[in-house]
Amino acid sequence: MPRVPNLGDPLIYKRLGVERASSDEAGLLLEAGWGPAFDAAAREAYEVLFAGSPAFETKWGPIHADLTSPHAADRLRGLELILKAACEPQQWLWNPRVTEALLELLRTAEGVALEKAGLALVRILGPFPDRRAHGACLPLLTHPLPRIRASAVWSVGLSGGAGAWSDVLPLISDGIAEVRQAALSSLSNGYSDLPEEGRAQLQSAAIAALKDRVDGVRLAAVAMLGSIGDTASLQALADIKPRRMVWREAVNTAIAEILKRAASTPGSGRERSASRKGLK
Amino acid sequence: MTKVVEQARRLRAEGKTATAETLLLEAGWGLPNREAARQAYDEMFPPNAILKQWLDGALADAQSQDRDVKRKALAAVVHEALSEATPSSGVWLRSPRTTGILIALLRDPDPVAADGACLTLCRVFSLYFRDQRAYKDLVTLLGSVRWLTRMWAVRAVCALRRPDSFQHIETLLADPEPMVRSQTFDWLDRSAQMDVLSEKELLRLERAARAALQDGNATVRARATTVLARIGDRTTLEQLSGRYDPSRLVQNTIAWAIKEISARSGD
Repeated sequence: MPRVPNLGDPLIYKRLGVERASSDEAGLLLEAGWGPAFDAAAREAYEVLFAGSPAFETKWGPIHADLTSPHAADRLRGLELILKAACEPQQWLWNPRVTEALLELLRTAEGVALEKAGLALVRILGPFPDRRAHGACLPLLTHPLPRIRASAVWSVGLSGGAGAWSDVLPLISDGIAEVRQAALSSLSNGYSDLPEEGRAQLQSAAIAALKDRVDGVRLAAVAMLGSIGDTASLQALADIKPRRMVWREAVNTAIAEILKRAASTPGSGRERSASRKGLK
Repeated sequence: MTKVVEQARRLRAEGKTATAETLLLEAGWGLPNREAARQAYDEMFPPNAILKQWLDGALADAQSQDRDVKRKALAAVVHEALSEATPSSGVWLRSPRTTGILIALLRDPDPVAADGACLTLCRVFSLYFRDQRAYKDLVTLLGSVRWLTRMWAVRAVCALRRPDSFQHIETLLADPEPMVRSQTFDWLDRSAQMDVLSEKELLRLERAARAALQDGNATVRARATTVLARIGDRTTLEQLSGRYDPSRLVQNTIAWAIKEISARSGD
């Protein structure tokens, strides 16, 4: 089962601030052709029937020319245009040709262009988790620039399927807070589809991150524990004494999520007792 | 001359051309399938300029022996058909001359060409008129070894809204490919909402949806839950209420289904 919610999952669009039409024909082929199944027949059908539509070519043509220009300023302009377009749900961006061009830039660009290409890719992978991005972004997880690592964490998490958690796990203890926060947040997405082994390790890492010195990281850890929904983390959450409203809300939401899941799981008496303890 | 033809002629004389056309399309190519209505349609509605342009252009190329020409033409047809419906796209898509060409393409040896024809026909059946001539070929495609073909075919068969199609579609609820299973649930859900399914068929669909709650694929479980939300009763409510699913998508769908069924049964 894919760890990342599929193209039809409304949750991922809500989380990433985008929406998508219901399971339209092109979307089904994108999911089958470039998602975890990586189906060759679906890729062929998409390429023939949808990829080069006139509407797409009109929008993509000038941007692609910029991205492949020998001049750095043109390439930056092309990336800016993609970033601007990706702020709104734009179906034409969810096209393998767009991710392909961005992946090529991730291999060759440096500095600001690399940073922008990474960010643009993250925005597109939310609604269109192109599996090819996983392999291309893995080397960037150890890039010296923190912003590159942070966007790579998101890209790997969104495109990597069920196995990506182990790639991202080490980044929860990265030296830079932005990267730690990105790792925790990206792993919260679709956490429920992870294998048992991954759940246990990520839960320990998230509980450890509750002691992080940076607020944003701790908040991401709280949200992740809520997503995991295991009653074993209730005590750790109950031990937080939130003074600020934002913290109170985050902790209460996480506890409520855990209790909701416990109530719908055929649970043991021990679990129910832990739930009550957590509520105190 | 049948009553329908007389009525169509009267409507046209009154200036209600679109209604007259719809009447003849439904009588001639829908389930009544009357020869007289087809003849009257051909006589009263010869191809206009837009339709002629498509018949001589992309639709002619779609019948080419050259695979690349055919594929390029079908991409243009699919693009136009799946874009937002406009009066000019309606002119050529809402024509038995267009659907006749597309139906022949369902038997094309190039599977991508058949995909394009199937997608376009599904759109035509949903928006304009249901050309029942496609039914036999589509039912054959339901048994294709290629999963994409089965998926597009099930959508098109459901869009034809025939009372006798459930028996052919039911087996695809247990298709080995998850996307075929989820699309079959999705489109049978639409059929159920359109009152196409009989009471017996609804019961069989409900039974299949309950079984699919154990499916290994989260999207299939979510689609099956959606079906149960529409056709389930109090016993379904009991089954869903105590249910835990590891997928967030399915959890949310279950919560919505419980609300829907509760509201319907007055709980």
